[in-house]
Amino acid sequence: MLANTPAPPLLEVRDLCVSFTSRGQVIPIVENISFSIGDREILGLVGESGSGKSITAMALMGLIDAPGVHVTGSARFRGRDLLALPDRQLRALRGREVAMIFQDPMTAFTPVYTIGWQIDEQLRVHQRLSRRQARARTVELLGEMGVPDPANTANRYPHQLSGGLRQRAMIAMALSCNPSLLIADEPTTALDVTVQAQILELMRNLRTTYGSSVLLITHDMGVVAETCDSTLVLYSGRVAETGTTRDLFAHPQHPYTAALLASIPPMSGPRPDRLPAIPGGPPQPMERPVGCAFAPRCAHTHATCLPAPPPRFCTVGPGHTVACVLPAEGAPLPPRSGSSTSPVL
Amino acid sequence: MIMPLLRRLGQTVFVLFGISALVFTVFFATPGADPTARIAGRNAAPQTMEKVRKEYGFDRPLPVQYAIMMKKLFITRDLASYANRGELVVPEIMRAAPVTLSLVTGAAIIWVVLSIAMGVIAAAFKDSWIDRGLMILGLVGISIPVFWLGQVVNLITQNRYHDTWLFSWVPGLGYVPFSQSPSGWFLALVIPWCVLAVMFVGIYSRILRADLVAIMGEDFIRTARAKGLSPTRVLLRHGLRTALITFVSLFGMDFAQLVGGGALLTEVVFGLPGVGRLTYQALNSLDLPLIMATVMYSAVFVVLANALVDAAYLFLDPRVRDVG
Amino acid sequence: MMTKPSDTPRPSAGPWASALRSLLRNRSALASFAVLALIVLACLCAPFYAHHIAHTDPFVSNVAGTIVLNGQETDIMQPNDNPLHLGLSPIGPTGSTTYLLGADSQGRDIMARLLYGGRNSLLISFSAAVLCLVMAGVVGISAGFFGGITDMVLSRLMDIMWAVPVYLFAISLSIVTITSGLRIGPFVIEADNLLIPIVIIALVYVPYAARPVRGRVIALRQAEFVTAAKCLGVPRWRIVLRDILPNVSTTLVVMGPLLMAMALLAESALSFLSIGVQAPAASWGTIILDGEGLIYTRPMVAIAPGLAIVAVVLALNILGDGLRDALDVRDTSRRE
Repeated sequence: MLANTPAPPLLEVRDLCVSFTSRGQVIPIVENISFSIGDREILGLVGESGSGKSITAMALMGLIDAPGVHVTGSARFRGRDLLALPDRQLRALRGREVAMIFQDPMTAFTPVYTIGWQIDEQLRVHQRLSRRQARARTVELLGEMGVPDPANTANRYPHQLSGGLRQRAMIAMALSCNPSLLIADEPTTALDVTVQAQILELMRNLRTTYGSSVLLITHDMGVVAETCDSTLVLYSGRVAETGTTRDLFAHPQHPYTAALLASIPPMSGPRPDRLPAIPGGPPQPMERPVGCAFAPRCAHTHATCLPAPPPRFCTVGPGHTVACVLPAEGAPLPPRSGSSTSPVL
Repeated sequence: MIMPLLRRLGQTVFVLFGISALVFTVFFATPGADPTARIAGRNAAPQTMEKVRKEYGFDRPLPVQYAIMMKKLFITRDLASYANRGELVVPEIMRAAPVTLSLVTGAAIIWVVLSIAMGVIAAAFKDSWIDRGLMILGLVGISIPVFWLGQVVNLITQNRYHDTWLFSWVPGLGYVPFSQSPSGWFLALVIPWCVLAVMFVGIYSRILRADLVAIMGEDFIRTARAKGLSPTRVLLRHGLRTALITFVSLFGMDFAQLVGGGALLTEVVFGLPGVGRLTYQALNSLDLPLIMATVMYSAVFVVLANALVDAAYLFLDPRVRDVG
Repeated sequence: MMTKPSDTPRPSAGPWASALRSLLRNRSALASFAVLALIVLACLCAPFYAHHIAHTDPFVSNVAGTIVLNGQETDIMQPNDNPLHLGLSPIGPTGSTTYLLGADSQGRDIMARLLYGGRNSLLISFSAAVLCLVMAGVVGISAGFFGGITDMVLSRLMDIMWAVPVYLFAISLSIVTITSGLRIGPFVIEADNLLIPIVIIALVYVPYAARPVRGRVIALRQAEFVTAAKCLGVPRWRIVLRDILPNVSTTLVVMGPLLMAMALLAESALSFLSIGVQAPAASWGTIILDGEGLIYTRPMVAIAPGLAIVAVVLALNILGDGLRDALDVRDTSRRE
């Protein structure tokens, strides 16, 4: 991990657990997630739907307030623990230091206000700006995000914009107060492919233009390969593997990561008849195995995988750890054949 | 832009026609007795019967009867009451309208303010005892027959506790025109306002709470919270503002129906000479022309008010604006 | 995979059984049900109460009568309390079994009339609610399922009925039938027949109930199992009976208690305006009307039936809420 770097990371999450109590039963959603994000780093959080990616992001933002939900662990952001901050201080941080954008730009804006009004609102909550100043900044932001005719677009309602424009406006709103961390929850899933590429380009450029770090949540390995410096693979609420994107894509050490990568269609060479798929589906939180959560679907399962506790983390390279028994047992997975990093570009 | 407007206008005209046909059918084509007897009133003389039959064309086919009726109601406005010795009906309704309007407007202000307060507080404290208490209170309000509540309130304020400091200001039953004495107008109407508002406070606070709770689970509320807005601002500026769309459309309907005569029971209990009490008096003398006229006017009013509500909807909900 | 018609959702025990279970856990719904059952039972016992406990005939004027109170013979109509003892007032609540709640201006036992009136009020509101649901079901299902012209005609008709204030609509229908009853061909329904208020109240609430049904049916019509059944050539009436009706029935059941509550309020209002239940029969509304003139001297005459109405309507509303939560149907009765 990045423990040896001189400056403390921007965000350091330790043992984040989210569970909720239903009819006296404690159901763990997310278990012991740890990771860190450095300045201007883009970290990809990958997993299937239901693996706990979005819950992790919501927990960091303090947006989980459903009754019966418990969040434990720590998330140090610039020396302050996001999970322990009082409401008022967290609110001051939210939207200013840490901002978030959401999957579906269709429903993420309040339908009855103009885009501009909603960006102005965020600016004016966190900064002392007049109405006029706020609007000027809004227009400027929209322009920087590549929105055509920003002054007019600001006066339009969410339903009047295309999905791509709306997501640009969403990013403009998130960046309006120059946050040092941007959490993007599947920002491109609801968009079509060309727009998706434009939005990713925009996100990649953020660190140079705004100096922001990004926590990018996605289920798309292709997006990760294109965008992220490091990658964290989640499976059923637990970390499966984490490392730099380059290492992880070249030498996936967790059978789940390997299987995910194998399911990306190759860009060159002969096309396979069928893409390899992982048999079965991820377990429900209540039925999660006590040992390795991936064991029921894994081709390498053997006796040591099954008993509790889940496999411990095993360091296989600088900053590259994996929660699997194979490397420790001296039988690591072979490096991936074919291209060393990205399947795209 | 022109086409949708024209279509809306066409719809309005159609509904107006439909309502007049419906009311006409109810009064003159309901199987049973001869409509002549219904109009002429109880034990009318044969000459009167003959006159009525001629005047309304009951010896001619139904469409002609309908046309005559509409002409008498809206064009010549000489529909006359037989039970009440030829009093012209339409001017009578016009005289009563301001009373009803005063009653309903005041009650509407009370019910809008109270139900928004109750609905928002209940939604903010969802599932707490405050929420449950307010919603039970609303349910009780919905369950009380308004005419009975009026009687009980009269019993308390006019009789049993009238001589205490609490209710000694309550004037006797009846109406004081605003032009005569604004303060008298106000005092005479305060109690009826509150009584009429009770049921609507119940209905609207419950609807608003349910809408707010549903809206607070929407994605855009999560965005608003992620922006760092205070919970109050999220609830009011984003939640309530969005919930108001439904609220306003319901309000328009109910307000129109009340002005159109739905406040009849309240007017009767408090002796307010509005359109509703006019209908009530007509009921007691079986004065069919008067009843039909009030029903028809109220329906027209409701339809026009609905068109207004649609306009308000356009103002409140930008999504509707573009669909046209 | 083909969807066979036998795979389509059925009125299986599943949703109803689980709804019943969650309803049985709902304490306020259970309490409401108990209150309702108690009131219904009491009203059913009206003749027994009148003959064997109160020993009065609540339908006969008894202005000159006397009763024995604490061993003393007492007039039912008593001189007023004013200094000159001008005029007569009926006896107030006696605290004994006869004239428990006092008498009305015709010297009739209020408690006994309350029970008899309850029978009418409950019978009318219950029948009106059921009839309304049946009509709304037919209208909503035909409009939603057949669409096209049928839908247009029915929906416009509902729009038109919706625009007339409910009470005014009911009053209009009542006033034309109250004078001489209804004559449809050979069938004559007398003006004092309870069928008249039942049909009127059911009719005026049809738009309220039919709209949500129509919406639900339109959603169902596009559901895959209906498409599948259509593709397999299942006759339309069979689709309606086997696939649509069971799925709409939850919507209808949830509306039941709420409609009965509205019907009870409407019935009492019509009776209060003397165009509902006709004398000498009683309903809670007519008793309130009887009590109107006595409100300052003998308030119990009007208060007692009002409290009965509030109790029943409140219980029905709570029960309806409980049913809605149990069957997980969104409240759509007051929206488009």
